[in-house]
Amino acid sequence: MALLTVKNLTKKFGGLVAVHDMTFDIEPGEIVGLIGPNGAGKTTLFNLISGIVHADQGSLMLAGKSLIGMRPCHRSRAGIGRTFQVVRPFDMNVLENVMVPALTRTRDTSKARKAAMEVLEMMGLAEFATRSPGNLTLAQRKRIEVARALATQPKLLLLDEVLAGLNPTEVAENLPLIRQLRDTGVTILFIEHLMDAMMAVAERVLVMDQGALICCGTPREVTSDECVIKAYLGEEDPQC
Amino acid sequence: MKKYTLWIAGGLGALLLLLVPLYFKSTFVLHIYTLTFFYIGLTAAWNIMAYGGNLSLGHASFFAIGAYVGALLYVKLGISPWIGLTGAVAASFVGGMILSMPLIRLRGPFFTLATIAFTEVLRLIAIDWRDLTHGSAGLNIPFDLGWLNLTFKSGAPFYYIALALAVGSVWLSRWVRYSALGYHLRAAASDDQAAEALGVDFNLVQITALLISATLTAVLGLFYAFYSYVLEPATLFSFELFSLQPALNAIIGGMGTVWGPVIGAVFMTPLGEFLRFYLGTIQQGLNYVVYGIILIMTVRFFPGGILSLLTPLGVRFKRWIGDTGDNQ
Amino acid sequence: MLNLKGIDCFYGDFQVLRDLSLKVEAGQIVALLGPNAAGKSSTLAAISGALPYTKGEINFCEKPIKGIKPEKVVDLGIALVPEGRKLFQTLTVRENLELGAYSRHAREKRGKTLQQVYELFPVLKDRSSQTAGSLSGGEQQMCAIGRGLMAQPRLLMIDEMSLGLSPILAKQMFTMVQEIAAIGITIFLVEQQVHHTMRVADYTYIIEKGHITMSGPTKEIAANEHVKKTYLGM
Repeated sequence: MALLTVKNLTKKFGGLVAVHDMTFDIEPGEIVGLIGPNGAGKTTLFNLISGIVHADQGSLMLAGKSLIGMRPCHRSRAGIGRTFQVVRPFDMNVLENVMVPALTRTRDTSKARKAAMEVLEMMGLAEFATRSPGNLTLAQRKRIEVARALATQPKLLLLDEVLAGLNPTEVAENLPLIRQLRDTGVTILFIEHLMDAMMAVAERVLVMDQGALICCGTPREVTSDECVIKAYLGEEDPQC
Repeated sequence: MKKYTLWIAGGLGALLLLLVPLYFKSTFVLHIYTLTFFYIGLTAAWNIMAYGGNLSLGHASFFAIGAYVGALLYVKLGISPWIGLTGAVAASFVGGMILSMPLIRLRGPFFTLATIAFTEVLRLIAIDWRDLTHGSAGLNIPFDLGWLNLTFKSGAPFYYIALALAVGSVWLSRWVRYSALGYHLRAAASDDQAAEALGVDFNLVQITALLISATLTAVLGLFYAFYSYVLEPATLFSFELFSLQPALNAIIGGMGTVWGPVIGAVFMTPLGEFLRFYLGTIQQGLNYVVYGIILIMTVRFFPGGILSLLTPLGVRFKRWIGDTGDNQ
Repeated sequence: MLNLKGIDCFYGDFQVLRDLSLKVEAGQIVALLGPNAAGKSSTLAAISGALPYTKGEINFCEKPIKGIKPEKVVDLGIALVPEGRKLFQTLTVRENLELGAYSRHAREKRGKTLQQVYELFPVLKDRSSQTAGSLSGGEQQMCAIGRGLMAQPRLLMIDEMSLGLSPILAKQMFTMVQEIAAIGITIFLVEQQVHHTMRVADYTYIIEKGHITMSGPTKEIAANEHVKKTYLGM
């Protein structure tokens, strides 16, 4: 059974159709990439899956259970973790930021502190535990976002441009982390504009344009698709 | 090892506080101390909602609910205030549930306005329901000595009761701050959407904080009613005394922290009484001018409250005694 | 044009810039590249007057600018387009742009500069009465650059321009930067998309742990083995 089933999902903001009639499945253990031009509706799709905004039409199921009508906190507890594209750390230190989601899995603060510390270590953030997120670089704050989402112990992890702000070599260094996460049993759907990263880790890529799913396939298939090149990649080779 | 220094210093302070009634026979001095303890409790209770970013200007309502329920059960039915506590808690719980409706629908100043309206409605009911509350004339608690009746000859017993209430309230607010609820409240205050996406039930944590804050305030109100003997809507529902003052104490001391409310109440209560006593006779309302100046200075020069001025000292003190605990 | 000499700079106890020196020549596109947390944004903050430095000096057009407040630095002709764009989300595009022309000499020419910005970014003209928050990522970045240009700068510093932009948009933005340089504005770029940056920059500095470790014409830097390995992911 698919982990996430999306059927005919539609969301309008006023006259603007942000997500139009989207249908796709994500299998357990997959790493799926999501690309598309700015304003194509990728983040809205994440908001719909995580429950920040509610769909006008269509169905959403996590492991066979409908998510429609569920509040974000309940979807999080059901196993959907997400990061925000614009990082949104809480006004507390890095460790406490990660303790907040850990405390939805246990009420015991010392257990939560330990769990949060483990996640920070995995993300390479342990040395910043008592620092305020405001003093860290954007890439480090993006990692806090990922650490917080992981601390909810998600089944499905939605990553929204978590590699932005890294140079190509740093991106390459971070890619094993994504695979490592999958190997611990987390299914991943990620938005990224860095095509190198997309090519390297995604097993399947979904392409959105103007709210609709226009193409789906392996990274190689997708990047050679005429529509995708025209709307998203641009004519020349992304490697220059 | 040196961590015990902190406990010894705290113990000595507590011992001194216990000895106060033996040395000061003046009722005025004891009254100031007792009032300060009540305000420490009230401000700590108010502050539990502030952890979640909610500013109430209607805590007089819960204070008055506790006072009236306790006093009426005693005066009309002869039930001891100690048993009446359960009634006060239950009634304020219901009040809190009613106020939780605007709490989860309104944000920021709109919720604050709702708390004022809530208090105003209850105040009008208390004034108009004369058969029950004796209206504006006020309800008197008969002078019938005894621990069971919370009625005493001297001011000393209430001094100790208020001290215990203050300690209990601060302990409870500290416990909330460092529990799962406290972390979730602070997250919700910081970014409600991000908190929800991380599994924090925004409505549940905010309502829980409101109910804890409301019932604690009602407990304080009940004891205050028996301390002052007279229940008048004008006093108990007073915006200045029990809605604004706790908020002011917390903001000046350090809102959303454990010790800020304590510092705020200790600083502001004696000052308030002093100003009311001296300036109130010159020109009514002049004391509020001074309050206004203090508030503006606080917000302008140390927005974290007095506590934020003391924190660097505290860090040095902790380093000096070798405490490296990660709390606070 | 811009000359940094021996800058030391601290965040609390942590030294972010150590003995940093670099030059930006008039009329060029100069890039500052380096790993995360190397001090790139701090360098920009120090130049724009937002971050005090304990040692060293910064000269702009032969005049020292140490200790000058950020708003005065803008008056001198240095504009910063910050990372994450930092637009006033609830104001319209036009209002955002007009706010960029706050200094006196820029305000006098506001109408004319606005036309120039609209010529450079026609889409901003179409969207001029929309709120900045309703723009897509690429349009927001254009608006932020436009706002920087409204200050009539001689030097335009852009922090992480390509962040969050689709490949095609990122490419367009770099082309746009070349057009801006062509009208005589000197450009100082801080970037992570090293490939694109090296395509447009005349001169490149590499910063590591708060110190300039390498500099030279971009072609030479791009050919360096260490750079290829550490920054280009080759």
